[in-house]
Amino acid sequence: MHVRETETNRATILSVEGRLDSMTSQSFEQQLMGKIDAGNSKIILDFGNLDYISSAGLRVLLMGAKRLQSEGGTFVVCGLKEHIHEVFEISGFLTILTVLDNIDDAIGTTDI
Amino acid sequence: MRLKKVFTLDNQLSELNRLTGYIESFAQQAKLNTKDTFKLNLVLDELITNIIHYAYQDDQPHQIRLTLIFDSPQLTAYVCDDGLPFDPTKISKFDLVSNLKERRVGGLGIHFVREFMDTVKYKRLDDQNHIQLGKTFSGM
Repeated sequence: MHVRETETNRATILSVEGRLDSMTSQSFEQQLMGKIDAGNSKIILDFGNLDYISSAGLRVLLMGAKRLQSEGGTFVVCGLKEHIHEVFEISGFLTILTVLDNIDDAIGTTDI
Repeated sequence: MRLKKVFTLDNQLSELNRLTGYIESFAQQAKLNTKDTFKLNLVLDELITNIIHYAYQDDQPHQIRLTLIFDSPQLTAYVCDDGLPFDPTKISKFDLVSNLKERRVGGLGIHFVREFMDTVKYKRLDDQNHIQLGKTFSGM
């Protein structure tokens, strides 16, 4: 699992490659919550190169989303591969998170 | 086509990488597509992660046995551990609460198992948990 960070003046983009499972989700949690702790209130997760996510990974997303919601920030996920999209659907995460198809739409939503 | 493979994993999260390798190799031989391979990996990951987290109260190493049988188009998976009794079929239906604030992730792993597998069975035998999963793949 590898996370690439891109800071723009609109949002922090975290591009996650590889797998988010019970092992890798721990370090992802540290990275994501670290960004939020540091004051980044507009976060986009680009999952275009994410191949796998389990409930451990979804738990981290939920943590981040709840935290940002309570602080008035924005949290958007984009670029889901088809099988990852299905996991989001089955778990109800399409309803509770902001999930968009592509990164440009995601950047657009942070223009509030 | 009939395939049968038996794998043992230690009760460590680091074993999940080996699990993925086993599943990918098995799925390749069974000619499963990417999506079905992913779902099989996810389901077994969730069950085995649960076992690693919750099944044992000692610091001793334990082994988890995974058996995969493919009799095209039917897949049967057995997960067997000697931990505390745990029946996944008794977990209540997952609550798809529709707002972020109230949402929890507890129970999501078992939810995936039920959604992605056709059958889930459990028995407790000789101080071991035996989970049996069944899936018929279409288009084979």
